[in-house]
Amino acid sequence: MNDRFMYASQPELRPQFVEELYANISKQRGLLHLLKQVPLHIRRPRVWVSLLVILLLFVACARQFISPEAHHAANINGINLVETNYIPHVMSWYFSNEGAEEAIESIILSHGEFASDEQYMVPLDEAIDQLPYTFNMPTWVPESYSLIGEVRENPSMRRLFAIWVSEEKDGRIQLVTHQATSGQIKAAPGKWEVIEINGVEVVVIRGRFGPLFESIEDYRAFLESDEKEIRTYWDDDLGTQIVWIDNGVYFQLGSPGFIGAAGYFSPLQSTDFASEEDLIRMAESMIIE
Amino acid sequence: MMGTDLETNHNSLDLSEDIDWQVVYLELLPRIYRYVAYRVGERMLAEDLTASTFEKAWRGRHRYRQDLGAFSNWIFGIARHVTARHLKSNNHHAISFEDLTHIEADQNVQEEIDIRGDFERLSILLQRLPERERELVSLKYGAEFTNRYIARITGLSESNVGTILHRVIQWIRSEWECE
Repeated sequence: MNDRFMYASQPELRPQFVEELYANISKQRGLLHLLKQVPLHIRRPRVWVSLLVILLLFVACARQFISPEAHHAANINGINLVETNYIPHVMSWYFSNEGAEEAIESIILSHGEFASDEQYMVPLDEAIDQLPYTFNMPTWVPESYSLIGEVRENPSMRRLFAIWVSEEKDGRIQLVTHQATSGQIKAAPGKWEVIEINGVEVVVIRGRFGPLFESIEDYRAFLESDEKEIRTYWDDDLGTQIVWIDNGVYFQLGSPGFIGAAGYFSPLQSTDFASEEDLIRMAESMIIE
Repeated sequence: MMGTDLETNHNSLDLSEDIDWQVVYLELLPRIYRYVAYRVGERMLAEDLTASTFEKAWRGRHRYRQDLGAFSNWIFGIARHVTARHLKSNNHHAISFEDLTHIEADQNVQEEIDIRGDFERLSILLQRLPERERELVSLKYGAEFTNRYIARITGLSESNVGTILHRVIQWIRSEWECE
């Protein structure tokens, strides 16, 4: 059958019609239609899976080089434990006169644990009487340690600081209490453990974030600079902390924190602080079943 | 295997997963347009009906992203439906092919053939064909389907399709050569 003339007679498409029709069918409305306009070879699942794998590999690699700011690690009896390798501090005000001790005492730290100018020293019994909560002071302390006779109390924060000093070790023991049913504490990954003392879960934190400055010269240089933020990193040698919440009261027992710590300008070794075993025994004497 | 349902007289599309839909559009559009044009006999009307077909089909093309054969069958189904509905709404009359072969060529028709291009000349002859014959010619020479596939979608036997097309083409050629 000679039908070549049938093919030869086929009508040709107008190029303008081809372009206009394609433009019209591509011009869909709505978000879904906008998505559909993305070329299909991009929308194909295999492409997206590949992109996802690449993204995950990138994130995994990035995590090897970039420490995350912080991430929630656990909630222990109301204590929100956040793991982080470093924490930033922002100096908001200070006294820059008359030596290191006053300057250190005046530092305000932005991460939540901070001192106040309302803070003052009062006898222990008087301070405890003023608190709106009750708790048991340790009935056992390591040998050579003794309460310095006064506690620092912050009326506005309902916070109490009790400090024991040793005749043999430079590192002090500090107990901080305040009213709370929940709290947050930061620790480096792998540097904390949950144990149970007399039926209460407590967090044992080995080490703490290090001194802000290595020397008084460093500190003064910082004060004279325009810098307002400084980062501190985890130091395994700065003693042990035991943290817990019991009956609506937050407890932190261990080496002193940032305020008044002897290690600010002359970092101490771990042997200079009370041992973990001693601190646990102190805590046991406070937590009564 | 993808695409086996869509049998054409020329090279089939690459039906791998890497379907380029712009290429698909450019591949299917001429065949659908020609099919519609053969059916309705007017270029502009064929463009309108083709556009309507593609606008309907394009919205659902994501359902066939991995099955071009199914998509092609589907869009040709839409084209046939759109065209048939148009012809029905315009009271397209039917006449038997046997009656057609006994009708003398109208003088006015012959004059019109003389002054138009090939498609228009062919279209004038196609308009005289009965519905079934014109559909078969459109599927064969417009959409460029094989006789086997045409038989499948029309419900005729393959040999029957071949016989009808043979007779129709002979008649068209005789009319064509009588110009």
